[in-house]
Amino acid sequence: MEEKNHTDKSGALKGEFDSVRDFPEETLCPSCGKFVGAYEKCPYCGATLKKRMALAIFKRGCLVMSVVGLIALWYAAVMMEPELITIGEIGPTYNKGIFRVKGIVDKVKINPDAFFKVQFHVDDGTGKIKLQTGDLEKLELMNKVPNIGDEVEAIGEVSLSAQFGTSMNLKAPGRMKMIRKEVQTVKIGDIDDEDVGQMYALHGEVVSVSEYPYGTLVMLGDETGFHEITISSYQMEQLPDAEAVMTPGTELDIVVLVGSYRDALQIKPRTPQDVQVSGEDTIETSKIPKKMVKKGYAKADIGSLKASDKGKKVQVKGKISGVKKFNKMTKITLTDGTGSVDVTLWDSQFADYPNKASVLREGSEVIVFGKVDEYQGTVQLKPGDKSDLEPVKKDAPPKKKEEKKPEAPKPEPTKPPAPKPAPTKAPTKPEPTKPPAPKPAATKAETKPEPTKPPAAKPTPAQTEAKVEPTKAAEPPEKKPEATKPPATKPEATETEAPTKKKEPKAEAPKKPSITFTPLKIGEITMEKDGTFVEIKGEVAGSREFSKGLKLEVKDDSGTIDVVLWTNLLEKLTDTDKLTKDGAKLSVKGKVGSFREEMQLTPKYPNQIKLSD
Amino acid sequence: MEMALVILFYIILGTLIGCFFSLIPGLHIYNVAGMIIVFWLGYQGVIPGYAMPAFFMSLIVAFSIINTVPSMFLGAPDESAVFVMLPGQKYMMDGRGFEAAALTGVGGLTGITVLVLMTPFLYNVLPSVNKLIGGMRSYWIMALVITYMLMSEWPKGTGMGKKTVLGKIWNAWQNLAAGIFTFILSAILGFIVLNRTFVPKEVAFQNIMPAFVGLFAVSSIISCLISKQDIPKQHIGKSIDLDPKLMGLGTFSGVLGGGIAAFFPGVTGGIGGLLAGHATAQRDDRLFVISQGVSKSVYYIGAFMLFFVLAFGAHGTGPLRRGGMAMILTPIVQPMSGQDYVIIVATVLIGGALSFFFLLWSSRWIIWLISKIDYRIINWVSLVLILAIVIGFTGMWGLFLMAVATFIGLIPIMFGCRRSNCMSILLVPICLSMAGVGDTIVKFMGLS
Repeated sequence: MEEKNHTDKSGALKGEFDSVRDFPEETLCPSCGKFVGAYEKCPYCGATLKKRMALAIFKRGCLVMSVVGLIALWYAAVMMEPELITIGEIGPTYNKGIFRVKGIVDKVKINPDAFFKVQFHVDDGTGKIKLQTGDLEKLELMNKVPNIGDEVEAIGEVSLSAQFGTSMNLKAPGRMKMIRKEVQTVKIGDIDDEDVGQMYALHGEVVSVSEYPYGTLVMLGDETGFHEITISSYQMEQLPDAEAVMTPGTELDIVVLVGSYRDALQIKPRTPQDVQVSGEDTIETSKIPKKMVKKGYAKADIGSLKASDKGKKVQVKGKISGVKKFNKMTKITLTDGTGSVDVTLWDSQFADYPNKASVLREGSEVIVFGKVDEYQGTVQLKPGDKSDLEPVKKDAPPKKKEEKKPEAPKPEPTKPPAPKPAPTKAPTKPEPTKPPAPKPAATKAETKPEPTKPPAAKPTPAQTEAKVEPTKAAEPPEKKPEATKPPATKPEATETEAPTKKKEPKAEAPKKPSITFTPLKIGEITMEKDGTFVEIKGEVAGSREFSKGLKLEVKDDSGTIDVVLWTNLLEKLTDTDKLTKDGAKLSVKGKVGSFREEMQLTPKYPNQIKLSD
Repeated sequence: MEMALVILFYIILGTLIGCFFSLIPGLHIYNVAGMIIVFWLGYQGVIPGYAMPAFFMSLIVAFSIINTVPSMFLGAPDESAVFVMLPGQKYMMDGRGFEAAALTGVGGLTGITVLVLMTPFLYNVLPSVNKLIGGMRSYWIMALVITYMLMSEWPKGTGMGKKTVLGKIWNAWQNLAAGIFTFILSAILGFIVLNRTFVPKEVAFQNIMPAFVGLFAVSSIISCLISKQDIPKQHIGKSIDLDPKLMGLGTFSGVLGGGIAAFFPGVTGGIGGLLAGHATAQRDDRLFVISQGVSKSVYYIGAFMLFFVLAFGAHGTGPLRRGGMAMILTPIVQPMSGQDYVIIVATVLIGGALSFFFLLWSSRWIIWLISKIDYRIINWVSLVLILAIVIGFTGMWGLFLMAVATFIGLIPIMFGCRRSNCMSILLVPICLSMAGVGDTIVKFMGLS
């Protein structure tokens, strides 16, 4: 059909029909424009010349129908709730469909640097699916960052991949329905390796604060012990009262997820909203005067010190119950009612200590800042220099003569009131390993019924009293004794997984699980393998240095992966040049991780990276 | 050896199936692939896993070459072929339809050859480019493509005969206004379709299929059905009007257009054709037709080939998914080694050669057919078949979606604007989502 109004108002035709422009319009065929005179059917094109419909009607009809249809479709879409499906039924033909799923969160990964900043696994009893979104900020704003155990109902686009499995990209994550799991409140000292994957509410006092490249380490303590809380830079920026949180002496109510990083516990607040300044003073800490607090050192009762704390910086207060002079050092025994500990003072550091004679005598009350150490199975404290020993009272009353002098190094404090007993290591053992101290089974069971304490948003009162030593301020508290070990905390890609069974009383030191390295092609190492231990064989295709080590690009016929060699490992490698040379054929065992959405493999020991044939 | 023979068998089978279904006006190979997937899931032993990539690649190779035939002779182009239509039909009205089909086929073969020769580039250079562009927020590139697409369309009316100023302006610009209107409606449709699953959950992966069928297939068939145009007698020649220089120029512009479409997300064959067409249209119709053939094959085949370039997924990000076939196959196919790519290259070469011969044969056959049967009857049969597929596959909601899309797809036909405006169904939602405002719009539309 041609448009009826083929001619203009004057009757003139356009284009090739210009030669017949003088004919009246009604004598021309509206379809082909040729002269047809009085014909009722065009002899040229066969078009009917009577009872014709203007094309404009169809045009307008088409516009109207498309708009009306689209409105109807939009209305239907708005009214239509995406279908609720079970995770188990999802198959390849569900790909790209928009559906609803409902289940319990059993794994959460937050990575502010990744495209999908929040990833969490949901289990509905028929299967598991990974839900992901990049909208961390919105979730945090609406307090909807999922936690393990939460029940969620979310809408998203199912994405299936033969390589990555099944996942769902959340649509409007802020509108995700969520029923929060009740969080169990525990004492800080009760958290140990078995709690990895758990979420707890803690109440404690900030004893020290230090910064590291990716955030802040807050040492939080209560009467049972202390732990570092890793707060990423991103979380720190979002904290409503960051200044108070960073002030020693502030009491915090905090909900944390217990994770692990490089074999050490890593405790992180789930969201910035999980960190609340508390006004309640319920902590029975040792009565260390606030002005004696030194940044970077955690307050502790002597009885709570154990061999597994080796390397930690602590401050203790006690009375000198014994003084022994050796060739190049003096050893004092410090007692605080919870136990006793030896403090080693090297002459090179303490020879010119002011008022040495009056301070270093039995009965004198002192505060010692030092690193926890161990010698022949006995816990020791090592101050760094003379500023690490401070007398509480200048005129300590002289000790009564009849008081019994405690015998030198005592491995087990007699009966410490703290819930954790002292290390069980035999003192005669020359180089003992570090089994975690057994804990009374009742600790957590007793605290379980206690409901989560609603955090009070009250600013800290004690910040002005805190004594800050500028020289130590930037020094992070150390968790590991090895000096060569790179920083043991990394803010991104913290992953926590719900444990399969509930924590049980510890009868004996837990066995370290044996690690099996699964041989894989590089192309098979995907996000799904994150956190697993694998072995690859490949060829070095390049290398690049970074601030804390070296990254090797290793490839095989299926792909390429970065192998991360930290400085401490590089120092131990003997054939570094051969191993890192382009073209070198390597066999690498390590833990799979990811950084900025790229997979990487990190060997830990020198024997895990070697030349292969 | 046995494996190689099995793969060869499935390459030939895939090519034949692809050629057959590509001859049906309006039916897209992605719809056929979807049906095959559903069938395969029911009978998983039918095609061995290792032959799946080769089988599906041969389908798409056949489609990229054969689809010219129904587009040209039966007037039902798919989205990527809408630009071949005008010069192609001009050829056909001159009785040179066979030659035009052959020219497009030659373009397709050339495109395939270039793709194979580009293997070192695809393997070693493109992944780095992809990484670089990925960090540059590539929605800017899509926004540029959209801007180019909209701004490169010019007013068609002259305003002659209109007495008022407004009348003259409207006469001159109504096609552009209709184009922009189509663009907006398609974009809204895209947001709706990409945020709600209208089809049964078991075929959710075909959610967008009814919309595409409506926008491009059914609207084209309807326009053919209401057309009174008769096809003149066609001449089947033994040579084609082509020289190496024209071939080189057409190949260059086709590879450029098709390559951009294959590589960038959301940019489809139609846009590639537009770019290729703009590089050639002012010079020579032959050049234009060849470039469209090249662009089509580079887009369809190239996009799927990129899926098998392992370097894209070397850092755990998974294979590059461009084009509908890669999307459809992602849940069931995972490229594992360089050997897969070699098989794909072999498939492209074998399938391309077979398809070209089939193109020549099928063009002759279609010419014979339309000389015996009114092509409108063939279009009626196609329409019934497509409706049956849409209803059977996606139900009544799918039919409704297709109907709405059909009306939108008819606007460009009625008002004489570009049908590529309909591609905003994907371009706009993807671009805006990449720009980070997609969710805001979805929320505004009440679809979150």
